[in-house]
Amino acid sequence: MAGKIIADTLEHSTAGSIATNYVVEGSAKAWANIDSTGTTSPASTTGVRDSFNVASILDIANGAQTVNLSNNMSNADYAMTANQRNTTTMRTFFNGGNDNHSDPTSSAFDVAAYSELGSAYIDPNWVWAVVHGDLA
Amino acid sequence: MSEIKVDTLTGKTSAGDITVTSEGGAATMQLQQGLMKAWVRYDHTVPSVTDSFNESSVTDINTGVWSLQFTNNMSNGNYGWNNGLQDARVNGVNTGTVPASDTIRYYQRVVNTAAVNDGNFTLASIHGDLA
Repeated sequence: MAGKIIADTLEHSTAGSIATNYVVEGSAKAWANIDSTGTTSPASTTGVRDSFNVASILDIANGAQTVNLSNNMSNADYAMTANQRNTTTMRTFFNGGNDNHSDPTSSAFDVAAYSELGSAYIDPNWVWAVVHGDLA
Repeated sequence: MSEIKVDTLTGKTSAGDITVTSEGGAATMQLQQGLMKAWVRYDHTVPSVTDSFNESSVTDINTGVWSLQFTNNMSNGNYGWNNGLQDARVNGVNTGTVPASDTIRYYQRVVNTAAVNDGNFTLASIHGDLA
């Protein structure tokens, strides 16, 4: 049987102390490293290099994916940040950037990539997204 | 109020797996997976690292190009990165090469021209699996 400790504060001998709510509330609740050129419809884990708390990813359209969570957030008021890498041109990244995209929900959020130079949505080889906020 | 004074947290059943209960109480999550594994605040114009965690060095490679080396390596290159810039110019940041377990390279460019430039303050963070 695994042990269980209930505590409000963790204190290190030299590095200081931290209230455990900062550990729980400050930890990322989901993250994913995605090859958006390999995502599928219907949703699957294809194209996901590595992840945490991600059930599947849906390819919505060129330059747009929906990330479905395994354990839901408490509501849609969480924070999501994303970034990308591509080998050819400069790209910037948006969430919910056009009509193909939906607002975040407690169970999923959309990511999208847009080329400023090409003025078009694109699928980067490397997409990274992370979620902070409250789990249900 | 309860308090634990300890230098190391290790899972009992599995050393690398400590479970915490969610804010709403409906789920549990693995503590290690949610922790940020490295971060740095870097002024590329000096260049100088203002503050960092799990950063062994930063290399000023060229204008708008720099790399972060980790003290403790990631398990592979499949981790994630985020970054932002505090700079008067409009910038975008892409990683310039495929991330490796021990280093990641950043390119900083002006969005509408793609010209490389040095940011005053670049904030970079890493999530994923440590080795």
